[in-house]
Amino acid sequence: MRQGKPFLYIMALFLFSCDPLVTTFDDVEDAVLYEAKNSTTAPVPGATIKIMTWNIRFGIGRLPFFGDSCGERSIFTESEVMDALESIANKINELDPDIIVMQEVDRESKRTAYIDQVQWLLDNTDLNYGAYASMWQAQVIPSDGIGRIDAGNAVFSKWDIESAERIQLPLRGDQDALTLLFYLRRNVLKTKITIPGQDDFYVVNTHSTAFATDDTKQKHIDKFVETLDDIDVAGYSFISGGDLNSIPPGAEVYDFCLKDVCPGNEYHTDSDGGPHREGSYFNNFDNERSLLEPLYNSYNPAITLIEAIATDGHLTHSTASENPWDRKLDYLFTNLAVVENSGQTHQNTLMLSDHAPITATVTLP
Amino acid sequence: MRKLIPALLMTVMLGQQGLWQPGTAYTLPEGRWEYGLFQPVRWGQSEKREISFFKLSSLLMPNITMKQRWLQKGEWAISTVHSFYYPTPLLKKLQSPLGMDIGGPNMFALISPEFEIPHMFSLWNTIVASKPLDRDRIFTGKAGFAIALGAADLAEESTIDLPLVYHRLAVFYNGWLLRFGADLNSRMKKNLTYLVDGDLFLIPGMKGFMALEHKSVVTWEKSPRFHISFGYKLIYGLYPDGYPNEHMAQLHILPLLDLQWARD
Repeated sequence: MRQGKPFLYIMALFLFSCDPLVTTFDDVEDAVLYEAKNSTTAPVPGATIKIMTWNIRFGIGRLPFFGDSCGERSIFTESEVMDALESIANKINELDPDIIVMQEVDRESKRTAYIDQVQWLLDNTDLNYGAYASMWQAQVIPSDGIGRIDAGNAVFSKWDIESAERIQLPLRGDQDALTLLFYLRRNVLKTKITIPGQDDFYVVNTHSTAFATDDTKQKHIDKFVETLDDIDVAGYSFISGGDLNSIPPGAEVYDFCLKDVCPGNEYHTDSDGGPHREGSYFNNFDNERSLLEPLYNSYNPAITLIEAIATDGHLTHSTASENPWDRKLDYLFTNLAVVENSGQTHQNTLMLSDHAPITATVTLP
Repeated sequence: MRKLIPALLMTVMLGQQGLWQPGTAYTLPEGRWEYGLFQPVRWGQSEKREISFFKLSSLLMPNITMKQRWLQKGEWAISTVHSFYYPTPLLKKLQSPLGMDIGGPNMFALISPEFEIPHMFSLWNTIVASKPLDRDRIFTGKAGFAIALGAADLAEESTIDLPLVYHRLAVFYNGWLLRFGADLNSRMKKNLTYLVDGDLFLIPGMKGFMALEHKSVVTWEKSPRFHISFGYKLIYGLYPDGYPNEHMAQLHILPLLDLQWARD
């Protein structure tokens, strides 16, 4: 009998499997479309619709994940994930947005009990349709026991999603080939929504690199802006947003290394001020601190730049739940009019994710 | 004379049974050793008993298998196979293959270090029956079960969801499993043989409760003491999934290559 060779089988699988261990993507390809198990009647829109962006941290709330919060866990139980998802669904139902751009959504991932979170959220909110674009898909990630993974961006809508495109963003330029092979492949998710009375209405979602220390983030924002410009130049309407992993232009604080430091790590020990903690330092290259100026200059934000940098009321991220929100990384932009003072940052969600959701109301043309 | 020649051929063939055929009910002749790059080391302890073990994985997963031939009734040979595996050191190693003190301590880890791996072992018991179909072909059928002891505290989230691995380690998460299989060994030419087999793993009550594996291998017998085998393994399996599904089906194919040696 031959039941005793798991180690050899693992090696053989890595070397020879015909089914790719890691999924790669075309520059542009169709995204995955979803529908709620029991659709509710889509409302006939009035003059305005409510939009939301939220990075839900793959439905683990504030549990101590190794990758982003000095945690020591990689895998979470079904009950832990269900508890977090129920809290997220409750908040969505309370705020009742018509369209959501959502980041860090898992499906069939070992770390989150294989739950298809796109389908689960559709089935447990008033949203009817979804589109999903993976940023990290592999049969196995051979690190920290992560195992099978499929995580990405999603768009949720009360109205039918006519089409959805996954647009590939450049890969990180500061990683070795082996790490890069198993690493994230971020994207822009561009969807076309069928809103009654509206022609050519687009919703665009993205999640820019968090940890790159070269100019990869610049390339991600450039591609996002280019996608929006193409829609705008064509005369179409869009709402867009996401976790841009960038601070607002003019934000006073751009170095969170010491605030985010994990036990045993040290930063700012070199004469040049380095090293810096990946993901916690926003001045890695020229213009990183003003990366979002093209968006603020061309389009209407849910939260104005003045509001964004003047108060703590619109900060959207902190690495640990013990810390209050301490930086703004999440944004909504549109080429439509934003109803005055409708933009809100829902900071009462500190335990639901490491990002706060933002909502705004926009006026339909 | 007409009856003598087939009888002589049958005698010769039966005399070779067990050689290079680990999946059949036949045991190695007493004193014979066979070993390959990936195949287990096999030793004919007596005319009816064979001992084997996987040499590479033995370092981290002590294991031993005994095949005992009980019956040779007519053309049927019937054996039972009993295996013991102690995977705890291997699974612990898979939590930090490079060692906790080196660089990224969890690099290449297939099991999260957050889980405790208890001391546990599994016992596999299989009945195997083989029968020559004609001068060049042998059919083998098998059925068995495995049980695990000591694995009650193993976290169900610590599985390795990979083909061949998931369903073999499933016994530790489920406590027991069933296995059925059939082999066809055949000779194509004087120095060329092939093996076609199929195995079914059933793990009732567990997410990803089934795997069907098929293997085809052609072996070139360069000499009575050296063989080269190549072929493929096809795996259709169910793996754990979550809402809205319980299982996910996947199909994989792997190439097979092995070099084997023997001495009497």
